[in-house]
Amino acid sequence: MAVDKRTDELMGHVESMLDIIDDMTEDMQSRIKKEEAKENPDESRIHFYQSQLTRLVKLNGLLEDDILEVMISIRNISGPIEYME
Amino acid sequence: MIEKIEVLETSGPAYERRSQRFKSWFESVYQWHPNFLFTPNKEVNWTKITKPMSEWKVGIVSSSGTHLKSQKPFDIVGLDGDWSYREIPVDTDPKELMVSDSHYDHSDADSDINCMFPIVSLHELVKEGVIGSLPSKFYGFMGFVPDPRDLIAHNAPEVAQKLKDEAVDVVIFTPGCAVCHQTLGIIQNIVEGFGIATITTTLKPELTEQVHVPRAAYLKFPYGYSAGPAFDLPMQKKIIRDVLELIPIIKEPGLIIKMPYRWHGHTG
Repeated sequence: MAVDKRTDELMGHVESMLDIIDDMTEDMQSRIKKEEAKENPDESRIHFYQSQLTRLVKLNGLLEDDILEVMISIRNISGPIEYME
Repeated sequence: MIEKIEVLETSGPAYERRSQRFKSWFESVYQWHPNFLFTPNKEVNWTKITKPMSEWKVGIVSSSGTHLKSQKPFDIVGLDGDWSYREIPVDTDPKELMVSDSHYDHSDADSDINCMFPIVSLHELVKEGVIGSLPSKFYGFMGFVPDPRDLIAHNAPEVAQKLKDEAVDVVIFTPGCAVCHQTLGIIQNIVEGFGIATITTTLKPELTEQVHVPRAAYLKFPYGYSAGPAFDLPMQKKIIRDVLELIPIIKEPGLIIKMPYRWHGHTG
């Protein structure tokens, strides 16, 4: 647990979001697979799932690469700030 | 072993973002530490390991400020930092270790030192036959050394010689704070120059890549967890094993490998 517990709480929200995104991504991938395995796959359904998948991947990237990195930096700085007190 | 080896990008948006982060840090570091001397390794040393991993004698060097409770704490007040080191006997009870460093949050490491100083993980890997043996001593530095010239001239080569005298094959390095990443990168390169294969974990890849080190593994974790999440020995052990397994895989000096772990808080 961080010395400034609020930073862990902040990061915890993003971690939870990432877990949900993982779950939704797997769901979309499985739907695509299922549809493609059909004798007459519905292309429009597949495009719809893929479109959702693209958004999920984008959101995952934003959270992992941008937001989580900034939050880690905030947590990193909060340590010395607390120790200075 | 990690399934897919992903090298840190050296171009593109992710690289640009990282470069920007380095630039911001570099511009601000002098406000906090006016005597900071940016000291990248001029040449990256390289030692190839030919033995199988199960025969390696593996050491630890950490710049996390870890030392025995019975030893003199590192100087965390002086503006010049502290480039001394502490010898930590291999059979030390982890509960006898502590951290003297005020430049990063080590609150979890205070209860579980293995998340930064992987003494338990290495003992377990020996027991499991993954690695061969451990030397009689590990080494602790406190990485806040803004001006590393004395470290380069004296203490880093001294530790490298001690590791060599014990016929250590491989050393894993673990950092503490931001400046620690430079300090550790310098020590790592000196040890590699003594004919010992090395790898460091890094939590600040934008600095590690500017310092130029032989091998590095990037963990997207906060400071204070350079050897894994706290209170999760299986994960700590897996991370240390995965990092060590990279040594024969990395064929080119200076490569940083992105480790595929996501931060899940202190509980792992």
